[in-house]
Amino acid sequence: MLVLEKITKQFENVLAVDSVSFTVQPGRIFGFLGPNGAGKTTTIRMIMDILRPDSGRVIYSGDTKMPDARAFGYLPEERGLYQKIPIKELLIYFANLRGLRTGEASKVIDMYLERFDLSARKDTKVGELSKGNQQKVQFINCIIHNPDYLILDEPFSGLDPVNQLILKEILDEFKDHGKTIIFSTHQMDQVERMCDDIALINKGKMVVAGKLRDVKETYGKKILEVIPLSEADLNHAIFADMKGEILDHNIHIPFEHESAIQEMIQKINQTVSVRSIRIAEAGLEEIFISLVRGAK
Amino acid sequence: MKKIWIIGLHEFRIRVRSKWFLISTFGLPIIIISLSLVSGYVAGSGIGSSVKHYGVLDETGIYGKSVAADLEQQYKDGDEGLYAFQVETDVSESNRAVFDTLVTEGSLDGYFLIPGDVAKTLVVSFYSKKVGAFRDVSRFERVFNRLLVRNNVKNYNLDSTIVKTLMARAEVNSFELGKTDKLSGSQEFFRYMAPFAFLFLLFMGVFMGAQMLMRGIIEERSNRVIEVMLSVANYNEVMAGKILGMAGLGISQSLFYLIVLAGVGGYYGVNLINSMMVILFLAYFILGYLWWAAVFMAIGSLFDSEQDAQQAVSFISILAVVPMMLWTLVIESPNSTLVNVLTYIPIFTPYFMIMKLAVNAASAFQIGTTLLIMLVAVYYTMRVAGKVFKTAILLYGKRITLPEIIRWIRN
Repeated sequence: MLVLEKITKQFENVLAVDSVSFTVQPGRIFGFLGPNGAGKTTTIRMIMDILRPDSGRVIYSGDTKMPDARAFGYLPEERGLYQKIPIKELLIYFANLRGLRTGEASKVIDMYLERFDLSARKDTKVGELSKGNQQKVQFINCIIHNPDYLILDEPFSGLDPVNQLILKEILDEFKDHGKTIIFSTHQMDQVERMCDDIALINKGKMVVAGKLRDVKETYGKKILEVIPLSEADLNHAIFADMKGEILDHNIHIPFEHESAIQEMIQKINQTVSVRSIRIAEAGLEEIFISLVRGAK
Repeated sequence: MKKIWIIGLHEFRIRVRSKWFLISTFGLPIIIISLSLVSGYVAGSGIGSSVKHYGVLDETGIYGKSVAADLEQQYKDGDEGLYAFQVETDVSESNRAVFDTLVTEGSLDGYFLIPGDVAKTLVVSFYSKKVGAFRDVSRFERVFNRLLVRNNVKNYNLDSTIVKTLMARAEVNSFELGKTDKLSGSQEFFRYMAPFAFLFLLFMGVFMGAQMLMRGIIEERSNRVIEVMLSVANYNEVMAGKILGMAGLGISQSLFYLIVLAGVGGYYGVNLINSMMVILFLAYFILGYLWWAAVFMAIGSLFDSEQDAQQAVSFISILAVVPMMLWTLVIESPNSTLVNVLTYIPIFTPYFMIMKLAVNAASAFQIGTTLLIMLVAVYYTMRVAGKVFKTAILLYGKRITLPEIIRWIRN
């Protein structure tokens, strides 16, 4: 378990992280969200002890002393690899730094290279790989030592759907083994599919934290999603009157109480021909946008 | 400690197998030795030299022929003479005009004019189209003066034995202390050049090693490996590991050069290196390298591109070249005030001390105090560099100003 207690970090005149607290439970995937420049990277660097907080503390499984590097698998946002070194040699180097013996590391590396379909290229220099394959090597580098804490900043970027699936499977395995996983991304669909808990920060301050389902229940508005038969009707005055928004050839109309739905549907049916009308839940992306805008 | 060792070994391995390292390590001595062999062969074979034609207009009728015969006899390349003289006694305007034309046409490289009253005026003139014949002129001058003196002495009707005694010249032979064989010309040359060779080795190892370290840091910063590194090792381990790897590289390279130098010295019968020299060379090498490594590492952590960093280090690099410019001064006046003052400035200390050691001009007191000064300088420079490195290494896309750096150091 990882606990952040009111951690604060200031750079010169910028308060990058302002009294941020949250708890990451083992065996659950924690989505750490926020717009660009919100303070996510600084927070993660403080968890990794790359930066020291000005105040507050990070508690690792009940201990304020950071465990050895072997306990962590860290995929930073600003990441890269030595370009002129063959993949396997590079992975062994990092494994050695995390305390694994070469023989022991070699077996695990071979297994993951096989899994990511990179076995045939283990002697290829990193710089000769595609961006996606380099991304796979970076991910393998995070997990070869079977860490207790996985901290991944945008792990899916640059991966094709097949490799995204392999990565998701591996993350699920780590989750099933009770590992503590923090996952930072801007791809809200990934968060909805994978995360159990989330925290959203903006301008260094915590906006919301909790179980994904609770956050969606609390902040997600319900809407009436209408698809008119004719595209031209998307701009019909009735939708404007109901404060509807056009999104992806649909109209999203917000409502306060479910009792109003019947009347709204009747009005629409009397005025426009529709293909379908359904009650939908606002996605995490909409919640994210409204919370960030609201915080401003 | 184990991580420092792993990082150091990794840095050493990836660089030692790069082709540029192999070329610079093995290529440099091969190039220097080949060049000296080629120039020796060229000098010995006479390739590139040709017979010089000079005219002599000698109004006295006494000196011209003798000087010409002496020079033609004395300077030979195998069987062939290096000089050919055309000697005439007619110094009239018309004959001088003829010689002028010969020089203009290129038949003569120049001509000497010896006036009739040369014994009184002591002036001989030389006319040529181009400058650059100073070596030939000085040879002519030497032989001419010897004849002039001999002729003057003869005019006093002195006994030929007395003349011989008066004209006798002594030569100075050089010996290495404790040896009975006199040093040959090439041995003397080696002894003279040895301090420069040590200086050059130290400069190459220290400065190039520190430069390579800086390039490595910039590369890791720009391709973002550094944050991955910092997740597996702390700042001090990363810094120390890198410095260790490069030091290993520099020491291996320098030891290889020292062996080559000892071998070349041994070939010419000059003992350039002893165990004390090697120990002190390594001590100054390590301290000098650590000082420069700290400076270059801090600078490297401030920039995303090597071009920007090179501009920043250009000023400090000029200072590093100062000992290279002053090496003859150190050899000829190793205990002059200027040399002694510069020896105690940490940026120059290793270079000046290694030259002083090579000419046996460093006292035990000087060795002790300079090593102490370097230790203190390295300690404080490392501390400052560490602060800059820690703060700057993860600051991307931000132009860092000097006041900011000073603030980090103060904090």
